[in-house]
Amino acid sequence: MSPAPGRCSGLRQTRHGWLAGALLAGLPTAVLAGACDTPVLGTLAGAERSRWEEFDARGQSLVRERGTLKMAGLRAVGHCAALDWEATLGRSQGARDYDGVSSTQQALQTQSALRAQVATLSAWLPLGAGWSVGSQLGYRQIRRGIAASGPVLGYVERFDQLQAALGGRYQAALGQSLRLAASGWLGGGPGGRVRVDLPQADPVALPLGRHRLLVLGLQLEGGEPLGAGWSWQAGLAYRREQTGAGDARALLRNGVPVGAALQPRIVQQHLGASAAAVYRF
Amino acid sequence: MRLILTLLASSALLAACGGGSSGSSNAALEGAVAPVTTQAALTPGNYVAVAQETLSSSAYLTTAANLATGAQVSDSDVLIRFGQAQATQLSRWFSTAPVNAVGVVQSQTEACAGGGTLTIAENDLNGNRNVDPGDSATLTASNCAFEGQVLNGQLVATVRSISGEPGIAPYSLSLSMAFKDLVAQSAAVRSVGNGTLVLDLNARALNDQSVALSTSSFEVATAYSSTSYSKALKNYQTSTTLAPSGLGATYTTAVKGTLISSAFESKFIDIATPVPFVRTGSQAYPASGQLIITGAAGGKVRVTATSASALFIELDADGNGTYEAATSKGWSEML
Repeated sequence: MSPAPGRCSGLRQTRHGWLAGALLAGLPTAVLAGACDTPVLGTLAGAERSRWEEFDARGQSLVRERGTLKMAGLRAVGHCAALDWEATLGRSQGARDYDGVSSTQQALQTQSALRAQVATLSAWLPLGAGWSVGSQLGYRQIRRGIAASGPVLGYVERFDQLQAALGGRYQAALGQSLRLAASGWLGGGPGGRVRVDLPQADPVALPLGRHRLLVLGLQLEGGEPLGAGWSWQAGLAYRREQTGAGDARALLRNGVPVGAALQPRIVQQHLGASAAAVYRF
Repeated sequence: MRLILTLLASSALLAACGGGSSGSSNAALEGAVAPVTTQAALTPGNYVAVAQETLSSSAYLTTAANLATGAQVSDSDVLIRFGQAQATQLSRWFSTAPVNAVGVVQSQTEACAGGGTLTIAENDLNGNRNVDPGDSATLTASNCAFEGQVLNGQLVATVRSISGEPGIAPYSLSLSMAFKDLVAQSAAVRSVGNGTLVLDLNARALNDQSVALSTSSFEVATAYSSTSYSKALKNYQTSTTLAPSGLGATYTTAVKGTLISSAFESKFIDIATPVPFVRTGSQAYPASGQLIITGAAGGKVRVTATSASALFIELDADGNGTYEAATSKGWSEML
């Protein structure tokens, strides 16, 4: 008897997580051994074009959102023993145009306000000739407030997801003070959850389906690579995330069921450009 | 059109949601609510939930919530909304029905927007292709998509009386709607409706209308995810009157009957509005009115609208005339 597809993919995701964790586990050991260089700190800012689409069980689109989000964040990059590492803390926010249907299947145009926070820790193992393999663990939180429109009620929902990914990177020097890096991440995560605050029910946490992640990035860095002082970076990134539909949960109010809800399948695509100022101590 | 809106507002809550017990069983949904002879005890632990269930089961105040899609939200009200939506189609069906011998039942099948079909079998008693008293239409839904759910089963609409052109005041219409295992299903909810509702509409003008809804027995059994729920209305009647008031209008709603719900262990309570609820057109909820719920041993819950945004709920658990517990709630917390 073959395992169920969901269980099989769950195993795959667990393996991703273990592999990502295994590489990252080398960091504390190196830190404890005092084998780390002083980190490079940086701030980054940018903007990303964000697209969000939800689909019902038949694959029909329920909601399509498009908008531009502003990004800001902090980044630390360092080297410990044989590993390069990078930690980021980012925040993006903005609004997207919402084009979809209401719960009674009436066409609806409104807006959603987005505020996303993401924290990642990545480790790279150089393989030589500019190539590295890496692993990444991340936590992403998205707060999405859908605005009411006429008689259609809006509400707020908050997504919480853990992500693990494996990646590859190629770096090349384009000159004495100009370097190019191309990277890609492929991963996913456990289901996560979305906390929904519907107007006619008590807040409820809906489970999310399994999560897949693809990130492609291109980064240009200028400045003296080894000397102290400021340098700059410019990057382009494409990120695609797919979250499967979750199971339904009853909606309660004062302990009494008043309906049920599930989170449909979500596909997100983000194309962003960022610039960073980096200071090396 | 306003009359239809009023009609929707009036009856949507009749089939609104209610309390539950754990565990799901589709088989359990198919059966009617068993005869209930035990009154529910009203206690400090359940009186707010009982008040909420009663308010949501009463035919006033508002239509079911229409939500933006983020999460996919479903409820059991869709059965009633489906019935109401079809009621406005009667004239069209009868006027477009194939011409046949008098008294012959004729049918036509329409595609439902979003998928599935609805087969309408018209019984035009005098064959005049108009809607007359005694005419009926049997609607058979086959995977008929409606408001994001899929419907299967039958609804029989029988005209009791009619005058004028429904939808264009002045007119009146009395319509019996018999739900026969009409099932609405989505990924999150499965509801089965059985019983007969009678709708009485009387539109004198756009802002001068009344709608009454009554039933001797109407039952909805619902499975919300892993939670099952059932509710029945017995000898139940409610009415909403829209009357001109200054530049606007007021809505006055009264209700009386028996409610059985799994929210209170499938026991029954009696409900009545000694002071009808009244709201103006600009208010989302009634600013005045009082609802009395009577349970076991004469216990009572009194729900009083203190403003268009708040209400006061009191409990007299032992029926001694003294309300020993009370709480204030926002209307939006209850409906």
